[in-house]
Amino acid sequence: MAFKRWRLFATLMVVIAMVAAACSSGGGDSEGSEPAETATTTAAAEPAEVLKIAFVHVGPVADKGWSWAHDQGAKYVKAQLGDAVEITTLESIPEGSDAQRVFEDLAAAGNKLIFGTSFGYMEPMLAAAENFPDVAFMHATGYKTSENMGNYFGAAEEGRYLSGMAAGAATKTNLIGYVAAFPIPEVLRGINAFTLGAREVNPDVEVQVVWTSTWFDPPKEGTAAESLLDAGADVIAMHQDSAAPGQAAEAAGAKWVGYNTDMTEFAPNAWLTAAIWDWGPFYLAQAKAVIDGTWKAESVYGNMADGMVALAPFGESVDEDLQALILEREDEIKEGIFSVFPDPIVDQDGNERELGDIFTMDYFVKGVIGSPTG
Amino acid sequence: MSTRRLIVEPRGLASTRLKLLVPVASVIAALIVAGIFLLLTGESPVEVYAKMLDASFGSQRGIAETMISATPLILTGVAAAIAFKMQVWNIGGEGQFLMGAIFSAGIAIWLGDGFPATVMIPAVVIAGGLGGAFWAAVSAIPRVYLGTNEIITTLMLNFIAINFVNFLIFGSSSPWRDSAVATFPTGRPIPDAARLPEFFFRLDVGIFIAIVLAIIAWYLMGKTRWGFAVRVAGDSTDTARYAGISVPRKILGVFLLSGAFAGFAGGLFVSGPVGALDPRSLILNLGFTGIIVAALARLNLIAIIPVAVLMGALNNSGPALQSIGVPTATVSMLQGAILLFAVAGEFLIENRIRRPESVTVAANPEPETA
Amino acid sequence: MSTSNGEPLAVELRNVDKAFYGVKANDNVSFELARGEVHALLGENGAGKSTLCSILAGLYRPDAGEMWFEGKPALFKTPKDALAAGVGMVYQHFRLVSNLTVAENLALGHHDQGVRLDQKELARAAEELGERYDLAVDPTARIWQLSVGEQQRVEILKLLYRDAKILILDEPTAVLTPQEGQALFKTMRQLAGEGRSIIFVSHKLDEVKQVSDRVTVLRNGKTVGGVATKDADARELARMMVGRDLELPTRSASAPPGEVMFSVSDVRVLSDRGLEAVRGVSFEVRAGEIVGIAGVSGNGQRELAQGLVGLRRLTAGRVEIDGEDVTSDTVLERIDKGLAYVPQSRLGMGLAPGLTTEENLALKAFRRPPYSRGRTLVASAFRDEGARQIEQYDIRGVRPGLPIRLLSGGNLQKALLAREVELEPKVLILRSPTRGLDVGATEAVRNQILAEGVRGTAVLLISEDLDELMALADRLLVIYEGEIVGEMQTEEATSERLGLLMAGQRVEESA
Repeated sequence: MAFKRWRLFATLMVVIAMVAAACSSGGGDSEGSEPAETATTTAAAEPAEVLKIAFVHVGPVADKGWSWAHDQGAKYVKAQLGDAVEITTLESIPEGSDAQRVFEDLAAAGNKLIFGTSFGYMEPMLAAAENFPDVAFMHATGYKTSENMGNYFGAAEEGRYLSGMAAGAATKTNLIGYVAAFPIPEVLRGINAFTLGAREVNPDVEVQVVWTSTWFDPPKEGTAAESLLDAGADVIAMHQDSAAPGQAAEAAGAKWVGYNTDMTEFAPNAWLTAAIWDWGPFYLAQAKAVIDGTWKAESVYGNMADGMVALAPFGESVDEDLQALILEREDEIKEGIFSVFPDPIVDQDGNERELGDIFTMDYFVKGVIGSPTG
Repeated sequence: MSTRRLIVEPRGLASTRLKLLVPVASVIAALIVAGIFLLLTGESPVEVYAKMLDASFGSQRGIAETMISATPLILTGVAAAIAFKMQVWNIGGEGQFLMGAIFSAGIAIWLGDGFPATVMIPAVVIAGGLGGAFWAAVSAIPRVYLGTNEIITTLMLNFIAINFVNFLIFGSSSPWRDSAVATFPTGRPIPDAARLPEFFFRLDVGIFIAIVLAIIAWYLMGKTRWGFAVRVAGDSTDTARYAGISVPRKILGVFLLSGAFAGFAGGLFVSGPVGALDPRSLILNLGFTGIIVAALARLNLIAIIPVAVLMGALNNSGPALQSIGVPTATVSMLQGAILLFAVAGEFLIENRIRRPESVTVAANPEPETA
Repeated sequence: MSTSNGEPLAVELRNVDKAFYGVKANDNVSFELARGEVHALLGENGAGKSTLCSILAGLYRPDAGEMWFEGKPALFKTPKDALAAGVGMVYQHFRLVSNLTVAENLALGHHDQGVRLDQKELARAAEELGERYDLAVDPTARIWQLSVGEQQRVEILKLLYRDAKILILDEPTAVLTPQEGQALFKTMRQLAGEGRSIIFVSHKLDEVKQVSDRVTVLRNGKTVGGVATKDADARELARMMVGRDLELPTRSASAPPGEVMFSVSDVRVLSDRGLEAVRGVSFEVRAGEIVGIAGVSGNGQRELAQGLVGLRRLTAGRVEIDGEDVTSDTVLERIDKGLAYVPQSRLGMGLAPGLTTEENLALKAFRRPPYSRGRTLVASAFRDEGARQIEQYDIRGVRPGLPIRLLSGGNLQKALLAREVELEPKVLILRSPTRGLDVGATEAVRNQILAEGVRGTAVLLISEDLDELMALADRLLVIYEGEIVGEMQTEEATSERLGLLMAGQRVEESA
C-alpha cells in the first residue's frame, strides 16, 4: 500500500543522508593522528589574564595538510605560552555565509583573537568583525581587511620553485602531472613557480594541470592523480590538502611533490620534497601582540626568509648533488638575490609579457599544459 | 530457535495523544541512547546537551541563528512534503533550491540598483519560485508525458544544478560572478534593495515569508478543491481517474509547486543571509535536509515549521559542541542518532509491538516430526 | 468418515484466539478435522474463516490456544512448515508466478531438487496428477495464458505435487462456472476417498450441502456449532451463520421499463495487452430496468465496464446516455451526465483507501456545493453530509480520521454504493457488487440496487454470481470472450443454460 512505500522511502532517505553526512565529515579521522586540540576547560587562577584564541578550519585538522599545518602552529603557541592562553579549534566548518554564525559564537564565548584559515571565510569574518569590534580577527589567504580584521599568507611560490627543481630532475618522461584545486591566483602562482623551477633543471619538462574544484576530497584527488599517471606523467605535484595524489603516485611507482607539510610517511618511495608551512612563530607573535595590547589589523605576507614558508626534507631518491643545488637556490631566495618570477615573463603561448601583480596572476607560464581558467 | 518472539502489527488508527507523545518519547529515547554513547566516548551527556540547548536557544543571538537556519528548511521541507503526499518522489529539492538561487540572484543583478526594495524583494522571491519550478519541470514533464522515473531525473538534476552554480562562479565570467575580485571567484553581491531587512541580530524577514508560504501550502493542499483532488490522486491514481480527476495535470501541478517551494528557499537564502550566488554559502544540502524535515514532520505541512526549527538547532549546535571538546565525528553521530530515533518513533506510531499472550504449543518446536 | 473410530484427528484446534487491530478475528475457536472428510467452513465475511485457515496453514500464529496435528501438539511457524507437514492452502488470490509455466510453478519453493529444474520430469508429474484427479492443464502453458479455473487447478496440483494430506480451499467456487464447480466437487470427493482431508470454505449453503461431510459454522469469530451435513437443514445453517432469520431480497415483478436510457452499440475495447477484449458489444438498458451481464471472470467484463465509463478508450462503437452521445466524453463529463459506476475493486479503484469515509463519500461531488464554494472546500459540508449518509446507509465502524481502508468489505461497499446513488444517476453500472460480502451486507446492497431500479435508473449489473443475477435482473446477457453470446428474460434462465453459454457453447441463439 502506498503508505508503506512512503515510510520505506523516508527511512531510506534518512539513512542515505546520514551515510552521506558521515562520509563527508569523517574522512580525516582514518589517518590515525591525534584528535583536534581543543579547549582546555581548566580555568586559570586569574581568568582575566588568559587570552582565549580560536582557530576555524575548513577541513579536518587530521588531514596532515593545510589545516594540520595551522593546527601545528596553534599547538606551538600553546607550548610556548601555556596557561596564559586557552585555544579552541573548530574543524570542518563550511565556508560561506553560514560561517559568520561560527565566528560570532566564538567571539561571544570570549575569544579575543580568532583565526580563520580558509579563503571562503573572508566575507563572513568581515561581517562578524563588524559586530564584535573589540575582537581581533585574522584571515588567511584573503584580501579584505578592516579596523579589527587583518590577513596573512606566505610566499609558497618560493618553496614551489625549489620543489619544482626536484621534480624536473626526477622525471624521465618529461611530463609532470599537477593536481590543482581551483584556478585562482594563489594556485596559478604555485603552478608557475613550480614549472619555472622544473624547467630550470630540465628545459624539456611540461607540467599538465587538472582541476579538482576541491581543497580536500581524497578520492577525487587520488583519481585525478591516477588520470595524470595514465597520461604518461611520472611525477605528481599538487595543490591539495590531502595525501591522496601521493598515494596514487606511490602505487604507480612514480614520484611525488607534496604540499603543506612533510608527508613522507604516506608515500616514502615517491616522496621528493614539498613547499611547507610553519605558522607557529607567526601565530605566537600575533598572540603576544594581543596580550601586550599592541595588535593591529595588518596584512602579513611571510616567506622563506622569515620562516613561514619552508622546504620539506628530501626523499631518498633526491641525490646529494641535486640537494646541494636546490639548497643553494634556497639561500639565494632567502637573501633576496634570486626572484622566482622573472619580469618580463614568457607565458603559456610563448609570448613575453609583463609579470604584473602576482596576487592577481591569471595566466600560465611556458611549459604548462592546461587552462588557467579551469 | 526463539519461540517467544515479539509481534509487530499495524495499529490501524493512532490516537492524537499517541501522535504527540511518541515523537516526544522518541526524542527522549534518542537523547538517552546517544547519552550512553557519549559516556562511552568519555563525554558528559549533561554537559553536551546543555551546550546544544544553550548554543541554539540559550541566547537571543542563538535563537536568531537557529531561525536563520530554519528558514530554508521550512520551505525545502514543504517542497518535499507536498510532492510526497502525491506520491511524487521529488528528491530534487537541492537542485531546485539552487536554481531558485540562480534566478533570484540573476533578477536582482539584472534589475540593478535603480529600484526600491518594494520592487526588488517581491522580484527575487518570485524569481526564486520560478527558478525552482522551472528545474522541477525538467523532471516533471517527462514524468507525466513519458513516464520517466522522477527519482532518477530529479537526483541527476541536483548534480547538474550544483555543477552549474560552480560553473557560473568558478568556470565562466558570467554576470553572477563578481568581476571585481580577481583573487578568488565569488558571486557578485546583489543590490542592497534586494536584501531582506534584518530585524533581530542577523535574522531577516525571510522567516516570516517562509512561514506564510508554508501556511499557504497547507491551505492549498488541505482546504481547496485542487488540494482535495491532489490528495485523492496521491492516495490512489486509479481512484482519482475513476472520480474524473486528471492525474497527469495534478502530478504536473504538484511537481511544479514543490519545485517552486524549494526555489523560494533558494531565493530567500540569497536575498537573506548570503547576498550573492556564492556556491560555498548555498551548497549546504538544504534541499536534501528538507526531505528529512518532511519525513520527521510526517508530511504535516504545519508540523514542518517546528521540525525545521529543531533541525536548524541541531545543525547549528555542531561547532558549539566542538568548542567544548566533542570531536566532529561524535557530533555527526549524535545528530544521526537523534534522526534515526525520530524515524523509529514514526514506526511506533504506525505499529504496535507486543508479546504474544500465551502460546501453549511452544513446547514442541518441531511440528514436522509429528 | 466418523471421527470416533479411534484414529487420531487430522487436525484439531482448541480454544484458539487471534486478534488484529485489537479486534478478535478468532475468539476461543475450536475445530476438528477428521481424515478423509470434506469439512465445510461456513460463515459470513469477517466471521473468521480465513483467519482460521491461515492459522492452520502456518500464515498466522495464534495469540493463544492449542493446535494438534495428527494427535500431537504442533504449531506451524511458516506456510513452508505447514506444507512440509502436509497442510496446504489454495488462497482466494492465487499465488502463482504468471510468466512461469505450470510445471515451473509446481516446482516453486520446492527445494528438494537442486538448482536445475528437470522440466520434463515436472511436466510428466503434472500431467499424471492432472489425469488422475481430473485436473488437466497443459504443463508447458504459462500461467497468464490460463483461465481462472485452470489457474485454480494449478494451485491444487501444486499441493498434490507436494503430497499434501490436508487441503484448504478458500472459497474456491467464487471464480468458477457452475460446471467447473461441479468438476471441482468431483475431484474433492475423490481426494477425500483417498484419505486426504479437505477444508472447504464457503458461504453458499447449497454447495456446502452438496459436497461436504460435516459443517462447522463460524459467526463473529466464534464457533457456533458443527453438524454432520446430512443432518443439517439449510434454513437452520443460515440462521446459525447470520444469527437471525433472513431472506435475501429478490426482484419483484416491477413496473414496465421506460425509455431507453443507456444505449451501447458495437463497442470494441482493447485489453492491457493490446488484444481486443470486447468485440462488438451492443445492448440497451431502459429506465427502471436492471440488465445483468453474466460471464466467467476475464471474458471482457472489466474492459467493457471501463470502456463504458470512459476509463478505457473505445476502438469502435458508440455509447449514449439518455439519447446523448457520450462516446468521446471524459470520465468527468460522463459523471456529470448521470453515469455512476461501482467498480469491482473497491479499495483499488472505487475508494481512496487512505482518506476518511467522509472524504470518500464526497469523492465525486466535491467539486460542487455543498462540498465546495468556488475553489474552496467547505469542511462543515464534508462533516454533515458524511454523517447523514453514514447514518442513512448504515455504514458501520466509522471513526473520525479513520482511513476508510480499515472498514470491513461490506461497509466499504455500502459507502461506495451510497456515494454513487447520492449522485442520483441516470445510469448505474455495477461489477460484482456483492462479491465477497457476507449475507447481511449482501442484503443491504441488493436492496439498494433494487431501489435504484424502482427509482427509474437504468442499471447494468455485470457479475459472475448467477444467484445474484437471477435474483436482481429483469433481463440477462451472457458475455464470452468479449462477445454477447446469449440474451434472455430472467424467467427463462436456468443455471445450466447460463453455464453452457458462459463456457462458450452456443447452444442456441435466443432473442
